[in-house]
Amino acid sequence: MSALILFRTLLYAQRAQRFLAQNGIPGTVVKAPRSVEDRGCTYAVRLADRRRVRALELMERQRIDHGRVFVLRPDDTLVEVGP
Amino acid sequence: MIYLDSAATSLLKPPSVASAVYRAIQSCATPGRGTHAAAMRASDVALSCREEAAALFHMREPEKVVFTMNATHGLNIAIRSLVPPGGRVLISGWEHNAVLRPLYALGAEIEVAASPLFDPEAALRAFREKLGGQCAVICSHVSNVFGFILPVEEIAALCRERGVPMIIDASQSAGVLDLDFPATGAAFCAMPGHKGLLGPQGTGLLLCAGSAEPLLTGGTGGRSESHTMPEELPDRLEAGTQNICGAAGLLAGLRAVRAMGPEGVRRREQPLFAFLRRGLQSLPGLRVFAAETVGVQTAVLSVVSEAMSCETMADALGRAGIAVRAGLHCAPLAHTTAGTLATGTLRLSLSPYNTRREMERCVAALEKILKN
Repeated sequence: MSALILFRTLLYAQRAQRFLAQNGIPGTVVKAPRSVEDRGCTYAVRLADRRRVRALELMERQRIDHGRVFVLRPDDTLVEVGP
Repeated sequence: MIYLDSAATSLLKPPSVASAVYRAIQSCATPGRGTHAAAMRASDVALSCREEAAALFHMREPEKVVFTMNATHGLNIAIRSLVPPGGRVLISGWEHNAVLRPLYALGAEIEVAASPLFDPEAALRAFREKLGGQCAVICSHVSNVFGFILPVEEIAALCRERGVPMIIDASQSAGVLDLDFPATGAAFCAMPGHKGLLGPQGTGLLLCAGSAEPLLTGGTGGRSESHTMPEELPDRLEAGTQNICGAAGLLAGLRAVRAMGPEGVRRREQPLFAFLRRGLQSLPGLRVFAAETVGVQTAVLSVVSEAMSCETMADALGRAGIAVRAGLHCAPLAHTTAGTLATGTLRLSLSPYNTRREMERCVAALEKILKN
């Protein structure tokens, strides 16, 4: 299963992706699905869900701001999860 | 050609700059539109360029490094963010038209902290006397005509003390002198990518301490349903497709500059400049605008001849294969302050890639021209 962490802009998503990669958590910058964005065209980092909690902890420690967090279930639905 | 017009643009660049532009043209799409490989390559170039610039200017937030077309573009954004129509501003006596014309267009009330050439203490005193209550202070770090290094850090400290936001024009200092942007507390610092940063023309950077008002509004690749520009930098100030090929070249230029370091640049330029200055000072009838104190002038030298106009000298040097610039250099205020408005000056401006042999040839050529 994948997790999607949303960011305010592409640059913020890129910075987070680079930071996580440097800390051993691979991820990809993607466009967030239309269904989860509120103002159109939002970027996210997609990573393995099993790394989500650690990724969020690392970003919090580094004060890397992020938006909503979702888990992509096997049936392709997105479920919002808390930080 | 002996190129001595680096204050206009850095024709002499490391080969990596052209290679980077060429590679980007072939492989980079546009960031912030798709997420396919070519778009992400472009996004990576853009972010890397911002990060390299942020490191050079001691910034922790690369998102506050905004791409512009040139320093003029950045100065327009900065000035329009801080100065309302008719607002009061305080500037140095050495400012370029990139500062003056936007202020004239706004109908700004312009006060000039005039001071003599090559006297940083007098410059600081002039600001101290006049600073207070203005919407903004705008000050060049280095005069494009005379290479005079103004004490922008001390002026910035005064601005912080008196609560007046500052815009630094780093057009002639970026890549040449170290500048710790966050430490200055200035609101903005504008610079071209194509001079001391050794990037291509069509690039520039605006360093932002906080937010700014967009000069252009349009698509940014994000928050598309919003009718307004995003609040977040750099998107807020980067409407439309950015010059990613230029950014790729600028990234290569920045890496070369960081590898040399400002000290490395000065180590290469200053001996050449000292030789050129001495050689020109030995020519009869030539007034050479050179600082007597070390550390007050970059490798930019203006001269005026009693016998010949600057334009004639420049033309003759050009025919001898030596590229220089003559006239007012888009800085009539600087010439007014220095007393050279009637004649303009012949300006010779060096880069770290000039050689001693070129300086010898330049002095010899000018000697011959003046004798004839």
